[in-house]
Amino acid sequence: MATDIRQQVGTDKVDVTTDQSVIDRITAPLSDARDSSRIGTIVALIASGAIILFSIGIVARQRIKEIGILKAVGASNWHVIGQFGVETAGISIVAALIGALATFPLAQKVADGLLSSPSTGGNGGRGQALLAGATRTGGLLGSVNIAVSPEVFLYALAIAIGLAIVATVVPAWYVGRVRPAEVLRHE
Amino acid sequence: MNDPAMENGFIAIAEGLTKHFPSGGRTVRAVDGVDFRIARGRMVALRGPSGCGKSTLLNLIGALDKPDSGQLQVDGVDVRRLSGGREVSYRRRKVGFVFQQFNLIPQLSALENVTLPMELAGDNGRNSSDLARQLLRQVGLDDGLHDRRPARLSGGEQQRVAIARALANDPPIILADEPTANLDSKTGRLIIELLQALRGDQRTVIIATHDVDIASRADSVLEMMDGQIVRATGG
Ligand SMILES: Nc1ncnc2c1ncn2[C@@H]1O[C@H](COP(=O)(O)OP(=O)(O)OP(=O)(O)O)[C@@H](O)[C@H]1O
Ligand SMILES: [Mg+2]
Repeated sequence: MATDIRQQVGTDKVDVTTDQSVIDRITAPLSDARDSSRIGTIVALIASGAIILFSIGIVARQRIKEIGILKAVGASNWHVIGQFGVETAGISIVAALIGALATFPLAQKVADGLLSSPSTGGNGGRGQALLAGATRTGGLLGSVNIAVSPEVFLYALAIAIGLAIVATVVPAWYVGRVRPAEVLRHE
Repeated sequence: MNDPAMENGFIAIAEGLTKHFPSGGRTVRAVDGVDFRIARGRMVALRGPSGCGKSTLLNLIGALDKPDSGQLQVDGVDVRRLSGGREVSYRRRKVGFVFQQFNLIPQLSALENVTLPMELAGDNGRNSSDLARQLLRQVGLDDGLHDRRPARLSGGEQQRVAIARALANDPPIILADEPTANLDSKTGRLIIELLQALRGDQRTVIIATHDVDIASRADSVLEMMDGQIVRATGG
């Protein structure tokens, strides 16, 4: 039965909401909730990474001609990176943070569903808990905190910073390769 | 090529200059073994049919692209050897580019577009701003338009701003690639007259064009065909 649920959670099937599955959730072991937290983190990571690459792609594509113009009038690669790298890195950091913060409550919800805890407190309370790293009580199986652990938060922050660095290095490499003649060619 | 006296008389000297592009498994010989000597202080027209290599040649002279082989010396600089900081400095100080599509930075005002190359070259603040206003007046852009963004300027006005930008760091060469192709003929003529007025003892203007009228105003004409210079007139 636990295997069933693991499969359900793992393959992200949310269409099973029969009485039986609700009972399953009530009896689900805590380790499943931890799994879902890990899944949440991974999803957050992938989502943030995708958003970062996407925003770099958009900025680079929209601005490729501008990069060419800047280089043509004598901007060094570093100057261009300073202009656009800061832009993409800024977008990336925000995206990564939003991605991480948005996904942790999701993980929390999944955990709530698993534990079938009666709704206690709104999202605001959870947000506070997240910041404070405090524990929340309630639910049939007692205190469970998914997104709240400071380690997880720091871990996510480290990932966000890592992604931001990638988001700076990738455009830098890209800018260095732009040949003005190529990108300023009409048609 | 190594004779300094010769170099003094010529702003640009090319020997066997070549640039090929791979294109769908084939090779386009955009610039194919070009020799020329361009005297200082002239207005030179680079003429020829579409696709003959005019833009490619201008891009090589302006260090916007790198030649495959041959020699290219501009104002005493071996352009083939440029890279990194020296390439950047060459683009700042030696050449000013004027494009067919103006290519101004859309987020910057006319004035800021002109101060940009000055700031890149390390001149900041009031001084560059005053000089930029002066240049914008010189190219005939009314003071009321200096703070407008390119989107709110006509094509002719944008091209004037682009010419002022090209002049920002007082380069010895202005390279203009079909500068009138996106303008009506009257505005185009004014732009050509403006470029003509810029050439002088210390400044050479090279214009790529297929406009016979523009070519007739030039001091000398280089005619291109299939990546080669087939005729040079007017010395
Ligand atoms: N980056 C490139 N990749 C592939 N082919 C190129 C590239 N740049 C130029 N070419 C080719 O090289 C040839 C010369 O192009 P170029 O733009 O220099 O001609 P042009 O004389 O300026 O033509 P036009 O009058 O239409 O502007 C053309 O056949 C063009 O398609
Ligand atoms: Mg061309």
